[in-house]
Amino acid sequence: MDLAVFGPYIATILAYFIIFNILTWGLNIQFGYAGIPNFTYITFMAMGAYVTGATGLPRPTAGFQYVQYILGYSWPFPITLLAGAVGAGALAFLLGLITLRRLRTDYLAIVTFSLGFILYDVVGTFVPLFNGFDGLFGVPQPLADVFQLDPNTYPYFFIPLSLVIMLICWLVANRIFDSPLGRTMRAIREDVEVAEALGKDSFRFRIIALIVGCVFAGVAGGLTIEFVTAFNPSGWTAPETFVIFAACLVGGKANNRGAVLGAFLVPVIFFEGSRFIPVPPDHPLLLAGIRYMVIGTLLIGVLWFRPEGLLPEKKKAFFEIALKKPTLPVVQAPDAL
Amino acid sequence: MLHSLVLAFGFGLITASVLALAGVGVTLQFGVTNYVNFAYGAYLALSAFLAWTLNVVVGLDFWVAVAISTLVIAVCAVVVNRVLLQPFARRKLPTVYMLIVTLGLWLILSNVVLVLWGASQRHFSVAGQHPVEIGPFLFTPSQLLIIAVAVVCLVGVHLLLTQTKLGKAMRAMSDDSGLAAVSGIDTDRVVDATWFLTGALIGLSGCVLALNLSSFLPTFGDDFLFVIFSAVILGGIGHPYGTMIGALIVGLATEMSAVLIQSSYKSDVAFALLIIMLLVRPRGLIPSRAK
Amino acid sequence: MPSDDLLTVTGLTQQFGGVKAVDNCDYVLQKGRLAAVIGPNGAGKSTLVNLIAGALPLQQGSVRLDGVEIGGWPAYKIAQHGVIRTFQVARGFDKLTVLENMMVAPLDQPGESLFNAVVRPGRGKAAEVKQVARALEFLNMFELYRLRNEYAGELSGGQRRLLELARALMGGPKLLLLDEPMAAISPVLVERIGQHLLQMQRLGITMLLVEHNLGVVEKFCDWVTVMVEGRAVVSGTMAQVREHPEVISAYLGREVVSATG
Repeated sequence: MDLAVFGPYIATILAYFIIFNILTWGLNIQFGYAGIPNFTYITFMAMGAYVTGATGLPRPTAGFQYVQYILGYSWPFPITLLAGAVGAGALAFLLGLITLRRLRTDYLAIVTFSLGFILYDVVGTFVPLFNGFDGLFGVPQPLADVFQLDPNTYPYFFIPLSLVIMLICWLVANRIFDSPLGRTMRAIREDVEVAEALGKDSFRFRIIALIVGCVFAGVAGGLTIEFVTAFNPSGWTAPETFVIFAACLVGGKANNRGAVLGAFLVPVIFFEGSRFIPVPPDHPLLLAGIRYMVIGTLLIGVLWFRPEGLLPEKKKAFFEIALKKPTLPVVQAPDAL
Repeated sequence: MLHSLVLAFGFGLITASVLALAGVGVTLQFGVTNYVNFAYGAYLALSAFLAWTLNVVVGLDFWVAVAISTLVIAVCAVVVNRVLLQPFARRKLPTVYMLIVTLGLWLILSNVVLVLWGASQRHFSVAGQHPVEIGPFLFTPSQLLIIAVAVVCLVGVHLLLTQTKLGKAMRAMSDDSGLAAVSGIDTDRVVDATWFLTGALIGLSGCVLALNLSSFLPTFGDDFLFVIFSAVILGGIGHPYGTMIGALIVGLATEMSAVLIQSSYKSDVAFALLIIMLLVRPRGLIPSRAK
Repeated sequence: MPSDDLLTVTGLTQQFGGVKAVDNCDYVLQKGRLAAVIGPNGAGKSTLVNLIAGALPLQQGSVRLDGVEIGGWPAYKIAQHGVIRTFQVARGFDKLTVLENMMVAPLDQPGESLFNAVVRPGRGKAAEVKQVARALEFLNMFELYRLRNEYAGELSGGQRRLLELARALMGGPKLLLLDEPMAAISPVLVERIGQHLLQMQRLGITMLLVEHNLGVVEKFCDWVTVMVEGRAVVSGTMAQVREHPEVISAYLGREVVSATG
């Protein structure tokens, strides 16, 4: 096997796996920890991609009349990705302000679902924003110019780079889960009213979960456009959100290891699932259609057979403290309080 | 300007009719089963494409095709409920799981439509589309028929809800399903009947919406779904009469904004209405009792 | 020792679609009391609790805690101010362990800020250790210690009641609102919860119960208020209240009427 061909292929798959992991963790924070049904999660990934791309690209020149986009600052790599993350976070903040204060789960779901279609429509038809349905392309790859990297071997550079970013995301996601912050988010997921009766401002905790999750999506989107160098609305149609939901639910929600498993299994399940259906090569629509049918079936199947996922949410074990008298008589109060 | 506004008002009435048909279906189902079904976009598309096949490929009269398609969707809605939704609902999982199940259903059904009918623009073959002037408005005969059908159906729903035992049972379940079950209502039967009615209303509105669009894609139902949701939430979710008012407001607002702003922002106006409504009166124009 | 007023409710009115559930209600609760609100069904007892706790938006009237007007505040702010409530049906965070349920309750946890959680998780650790010790102490007190690592959703109904009380204690309340804490539990557990309430009173916590079971009220509570048709008509010890003519008519009147009519 020719390594020169096969190597970049493996690297590309790895890059997508890394990106998909970050996406799944972000959704896990929103949905798994805090129980927010953000049914347009993919839009925030797109926001991250567009802002990263548009801040990295130079100003659109008059010669290329057909390419239009805002920003165009030619910013260098880490700043573009940060800008993408901030863009996604800002959009999440707006959404949270509108929806998280008083809305019930089903209203929240309707608003997020609808918002996705609206923004998709706006980005697609309002060309001056991000070049409409053609999208952005020719986005400079991170540090390729600084180190004079060859496009053919670029994946070898990109993988370690994105691995570092993935590890940072892993750390953040797990630290939140292990902290009192994560605990309160999960409490709010279980019963908002009880959490509020204990003095928890559910709005504050849920908007943090929404923003952090969407920042993850933004980072994943940013990495996507930096790796692929192009991005357009076909990359973030509404059903894509549910591919990530499927990964999150199959792996086990509120469990980041489970999310990794889901991010690995869901594409595999799709390929395995669609192998038994003969697809004529001249029918690209059929393949996409079957992919989403498999995802839909997967969502329903997981919720029916194993709603907690393959790796369920872990029980939090606390350090043990030995009690002086393990069985106090009931009516006696401890003296010291 | 004024003239085009008046014309837009007329179009608004048609959109409102279609919206009211679908919205009343959505709101009835929500009231009785207490969860939102996100698969309606696919139901709308399925109905329209089925009718298209019967109308254009088989060659049946448009309204005959619509009648058959409506009936098929109604039966499908009942079957889907029996096979998929009701078993999940019985498990009393958190609301959000129920929503994800309907989204899974949406993914499956909408892609079935896409695979079966392809992604090309379709249109019905309906004869005699010369506009008729009625007062200041301009309608095609089929548009007039849409309004008439909608009015007849909505009056029918009203009579069903107020005059029949089934309708009263539906309203009772809408208010308090636990109490309804205790007071001897066969809730499973009411749920089935509700899905049949909702399926029929959605099926019918899918066809007439597609007719009104002149040409339609398999995704047209999804784009219309949140316009329906806007109307439903505006009217207070679970309230058929509120939904009719909501449909009128959203229908008129979207069509008239097409004249005032730009026609491509029609659905954005519906979404803006939804957001404003949620911010100002999250329980709708006619607030429901605490549930 | 002159006991001062902790809770002062004046002119509270709440309408549900034209029906006044609470009608110009005045109510005063002194510090350190284990008080009860009793009354016939539909007298507005639970609505009163919901209004004090901020679970319902305040329509009219004033609620003061320690001289601070808390009426109209959102529920979480009222809780932060020291008013913690329990629910008619014991509720908890099912997918959290018993100990985690306890650990949610403390206010102002340093580890609840995003910055601390992500950048310096050590910052919250010290506070966490202290709270775990406190939580285990309380769990021990309510005989839930051995269940500390079970999911709250796996507890029995009675255990959930106990957890609810223990968790409320964790929040360090000035005033504890208990909405029918004895509802739907066995007589043995009623006695036990009663003893716990006395124990909590000794810890200095003021409590207000909504209760149907007059025997329980008589046995454990030192201050009883009778609500009739949305108003607090009389307050005192159970013995005093029992003699009051309005109470007799409120409780017995209906039975007499229904027996004759």
